[in-house]
Amino acid sequence: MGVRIRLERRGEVPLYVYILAPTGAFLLAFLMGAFLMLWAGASPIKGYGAFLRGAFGGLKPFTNTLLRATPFLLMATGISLSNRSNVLNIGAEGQYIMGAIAMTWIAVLMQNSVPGFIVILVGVILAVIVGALWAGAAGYLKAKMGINEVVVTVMLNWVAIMLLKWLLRGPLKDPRSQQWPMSPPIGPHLPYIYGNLNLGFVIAVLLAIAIWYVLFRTNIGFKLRACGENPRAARYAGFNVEGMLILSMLISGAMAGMAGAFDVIGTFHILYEGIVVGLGYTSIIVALVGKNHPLAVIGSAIMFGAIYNGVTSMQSVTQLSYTLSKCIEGMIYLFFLISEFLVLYRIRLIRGDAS
Amino acid sequence: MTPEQISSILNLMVVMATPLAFAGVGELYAERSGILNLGVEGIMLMGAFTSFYVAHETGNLLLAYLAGVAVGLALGLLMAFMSVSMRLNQVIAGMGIYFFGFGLSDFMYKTIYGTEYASIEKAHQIAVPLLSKIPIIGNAFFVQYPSVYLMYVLIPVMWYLLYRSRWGLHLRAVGENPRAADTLGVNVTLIRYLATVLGAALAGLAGAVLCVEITGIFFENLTFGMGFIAIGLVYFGRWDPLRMWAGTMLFGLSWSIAMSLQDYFSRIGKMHWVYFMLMIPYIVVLLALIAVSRKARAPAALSKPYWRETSE
Repeated sequence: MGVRIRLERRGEVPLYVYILAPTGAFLLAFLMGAFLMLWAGASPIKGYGAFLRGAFGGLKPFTNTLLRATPFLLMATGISLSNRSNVLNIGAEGQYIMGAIAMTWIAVLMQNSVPGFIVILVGVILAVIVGALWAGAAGYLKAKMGINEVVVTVMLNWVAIMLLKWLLRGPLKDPRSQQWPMSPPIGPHLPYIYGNLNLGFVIAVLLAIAIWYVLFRTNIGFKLRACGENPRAARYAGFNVEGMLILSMLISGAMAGMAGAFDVIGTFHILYEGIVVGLGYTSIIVALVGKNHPLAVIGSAIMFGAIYNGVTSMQSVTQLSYTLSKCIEGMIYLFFLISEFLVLYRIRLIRGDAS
Repeated sequence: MTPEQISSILNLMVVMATPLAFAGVGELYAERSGILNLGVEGIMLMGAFTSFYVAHETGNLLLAYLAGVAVGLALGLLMAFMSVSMRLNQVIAGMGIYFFGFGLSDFMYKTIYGTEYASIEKAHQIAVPLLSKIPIIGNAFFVQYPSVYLMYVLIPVMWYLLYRSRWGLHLRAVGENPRAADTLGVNVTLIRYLATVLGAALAGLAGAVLCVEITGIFFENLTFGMGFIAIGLVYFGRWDPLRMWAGTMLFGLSWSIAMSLQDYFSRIGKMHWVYFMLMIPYIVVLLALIAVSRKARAPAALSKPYWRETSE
């Protein structure tokens, strides 16, 4: 007979469980990170000490954290929106690259003849359009032909990466740089608020609030969520399910394109291959942790900004590779899934053959 | 074009198609049982790193292949546990496996080898007696790496198992209508576990093939999206192993042509056009997906968890 495992849906879940479970997931991920550090021969106490100082130790580190959080916030807000209409945008990475390319191209073309703010305006608008089209194509193929959006967006990511490599060695190459493939330096930049922190962060927060408002307080937001949650019922109600899907992908891509443009004119001031580090993929995790809620995504983006910023200063103290942040975020993701599950279900062992 | 050039383009086509075929047929089995495993890319990366590590430390390539398979098995168990036992959203669980494999493989590589240049002695291409003497085709298909010969056997066997064996029938039934299969006494959980773990083990092998036969080194993201391409090719093959195999050859050919143009571009001093050409394989996959989209029909229970107790 033996023991059977049975899952039961929990009834009422007290509010504190919703807070404790994700906190536990984070702590567990950082604990595993400590084991990885030990394996790599570094002291976890020193490592996490440097991590905390680098992420939160004072105004300057904290503004760096917010700077790092900006692309996460823009992309994760867009991804939450497309998740709400039940289409997964894995392609934020490619849309981000396309946005960065568009911004750089405009800057290289115009920065010597036109005032800076016009370069920024034109560049950001073009980046938003290109990003939106890059994602919208995947949305169109999903809505009209039923092709899996995950595969399409990943293919488009690789097209964008190859395009970037080609441009940096060809049309966008800085003629003065002989060795490294990189664009000429870009002069116009976003206005600074404090230290390196620029206006981009403020715009990202405002956009997150705006998207929250649209999603939860307007008619079109209601339709978008209805189409995602129950496409069949939405279709009966006369909603345009395919249209909503494409629209959500367009917005999602526009946000990612903007993130790419902001990073070029706010953070790097140059275009090089180093921008391809998987920020778009991380933003999917940021959206998951923020439960696809734009206001919660603000908090979650800042948290991931802190992880990236903290790991950078950890790297200089312990000589650990910055890719530790990738491991930690992968584990946060997995533990988060498991904690969600434990919140919703109770596991019971049943003796004998009780079916 | 000379016959030698044609032969070498075809040879590279088969080489590039091999990891895709392993990962693809594995994913096909998982999907046929109703499990959409989006973590293939992460499993391939872990398989690639582990096989690189084992080959680098022991110099034994057979062990390296096996290490790739073993890592695939372990990650497949994790995926099966999350999607079959815990009944999590498979898209989200699969992405979790991807992130985990992507981060961990890179972190372990950078920690162990740092910035030093580490490489392994790659496997050699072996000529089959007689067959390799056929003009053009012989050199392309029968002077090949060990895993290519395994592929020649494995894909037809997997096709046969899926369509002609009792187990294959059960597998397809579980993917189409798990409730009916369950009523007839088929163990849905067991079959889904087996299919997912088998698929992941093949993805691990695909990663090992990439490292041991193609690159000889490890670097961040060395799969170049192949895990996701494999998922796309399952769709392109409409969940049939032989059609999927044809798709891997199509991708292999476009990749091989793009790489063969490398010499030409470096001769005329315009190396950057190589990267432009490397966009083509991905665009080919996209066009292939669009071409078959009207005819493709996924297994009915794909990515839907099965609950015995409730009627959903």
